[in-house]
Amino acid sequence: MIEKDKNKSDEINYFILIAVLSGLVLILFTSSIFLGTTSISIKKSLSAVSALEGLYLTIILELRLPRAILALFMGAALGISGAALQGLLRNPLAEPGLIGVSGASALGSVIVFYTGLSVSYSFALPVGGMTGAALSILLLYFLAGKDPSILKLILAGVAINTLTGALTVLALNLSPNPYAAYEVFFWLLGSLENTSVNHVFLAAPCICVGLIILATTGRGLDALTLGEDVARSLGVGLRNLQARIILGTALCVGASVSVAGVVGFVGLIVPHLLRPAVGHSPGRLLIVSGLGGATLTLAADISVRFIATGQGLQLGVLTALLGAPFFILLVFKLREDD
Amino acid sequence: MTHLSAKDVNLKRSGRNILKNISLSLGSGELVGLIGPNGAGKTTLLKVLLGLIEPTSGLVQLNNIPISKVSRKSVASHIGYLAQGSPCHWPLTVEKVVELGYLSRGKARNNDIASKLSLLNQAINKLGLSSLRHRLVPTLSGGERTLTMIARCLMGGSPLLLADEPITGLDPGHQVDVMSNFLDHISEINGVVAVLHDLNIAAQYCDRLILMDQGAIVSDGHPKDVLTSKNLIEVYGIVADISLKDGRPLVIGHRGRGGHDF
Repeated sequence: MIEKDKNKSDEINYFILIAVLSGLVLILFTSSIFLGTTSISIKKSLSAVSALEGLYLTIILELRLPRAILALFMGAALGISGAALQGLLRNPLAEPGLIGVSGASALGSVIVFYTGLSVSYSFALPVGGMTGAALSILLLYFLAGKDPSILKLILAGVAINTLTGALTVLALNLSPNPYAAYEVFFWLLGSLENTSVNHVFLAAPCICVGLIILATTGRGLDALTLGEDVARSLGVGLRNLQARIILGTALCVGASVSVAGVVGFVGLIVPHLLRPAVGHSPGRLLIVSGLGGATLTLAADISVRFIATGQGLQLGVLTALLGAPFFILLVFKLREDD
Repeated sequence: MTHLSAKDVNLKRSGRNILKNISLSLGSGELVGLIGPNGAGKTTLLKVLLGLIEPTSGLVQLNNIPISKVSRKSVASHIGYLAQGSPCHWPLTVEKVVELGYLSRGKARNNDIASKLSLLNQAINKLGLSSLRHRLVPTLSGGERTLTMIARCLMGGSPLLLADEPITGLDPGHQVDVMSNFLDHISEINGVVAVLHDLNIAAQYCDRLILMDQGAIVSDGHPKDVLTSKNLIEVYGIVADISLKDGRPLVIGHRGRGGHDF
């Protein structure tokens, strides 16, 4: 009977965790609408919304709301993608930014940007980003997938990152318009500033589909803990699982990067912090990491508004500043475990 | 009744013949020992029988249907697999790993939480894992890990179990535990094929041994017909004293092919 209770309490803890994270997301999302360099009190906001007019309403509807929605979706996308990739590659260091998926996605977007496709078809930008992401995951899987060793994964990731980084800079070099190059450079650093309702319409549907696809991979990822052969012997269609994770991650990361640039480390930190809370189950980690990613990105996006720098601190720079020391700690911990 | 058979199975990899003309039939309620030197193709044969590797030629059939035509889910409901070294990549608890076995029962029954829990308790108690229930699998000893994986297979309820080196590296106590559990499994359900290196344990517990060498089956039958001095010197290169105890051979190898005394 004690065992039964224990089993039940695991279940309850999981739902409490989801509820707490959802609550945090809701609070931060609301704060994101009301907090900023132009302070708008809740009373003013409410009266602005109810009057359906005025400067405040414009700020809320056209600047803050899209930004908050994008932070929410992008954070969820990065968190769940990180968790899914870590599960697939059975490696806690797999992260879209670190292993080159975000870089490849950025390259895809930059190519679309320069060929002018993005002017004629607005959807070309996220499609370019997603194609880049999907190709990089395929390449990564080809290079390191069969053998989930950390060394191979990092080597393959470094190779993809370096190559896509170099090609992106090459594209910037060849740019005829230096001002455009400057713009692209800052976009690449990752920021939700200057995002508009159009960006929401471009990215949100793709991310939604990606989130749903990734959320269904839980059982397969759990089984994959026991190795590819055992997972297949348990009835998991491995190719199908791989395809779903590659497609889902490409949709999530590609769409995020194409509207907001490269925001790194969210997909690394969030699953790592939450993993013990779900008993290390890669399946349960998915949804929890999505919520955690949204929490972290919303919080970071609110913080950059108040950290005074001339140009406004880039979101991607802040997450990298927080993430890099964390990454080093993680590597040290892995070294101790060996 | 699950019946698994292979007919004239060949497997070639980069010009090497890894499996040669393998024909066998499994699944009539017996504990089968698959023996042979390192590199004889035992692990590969298990994977081919599970449909994880496609043979170059020949046919593997599950209940008279080619296994490549059977869905993974359906194969899972018939055959359980215990991989060599019992890999576990994340620090899951014993309970969680055993629970994963339930996947092979398919989706339809997965919603019945009460029956799942009673199966889980059964599998854990049957292998004496109650005290380890909440321990993390990577922190267990080799024997405890193997027992956890066997419990996982029992949880799955597949009638046929293919086990790759289940007792290698275990102390004698755990070896006997694991082998007795296989015997229980047989009396309860159907059949077990275990890759074994200890010839005496194989002779003592199995009613049928399959001896492989260089990708081919050398001998298939009762231990006393398989463990002959001719087979042992040809396959393992050992000159052996073979005595019969309760009708089963007891093997003491005392000289290698090179003529060195042990």
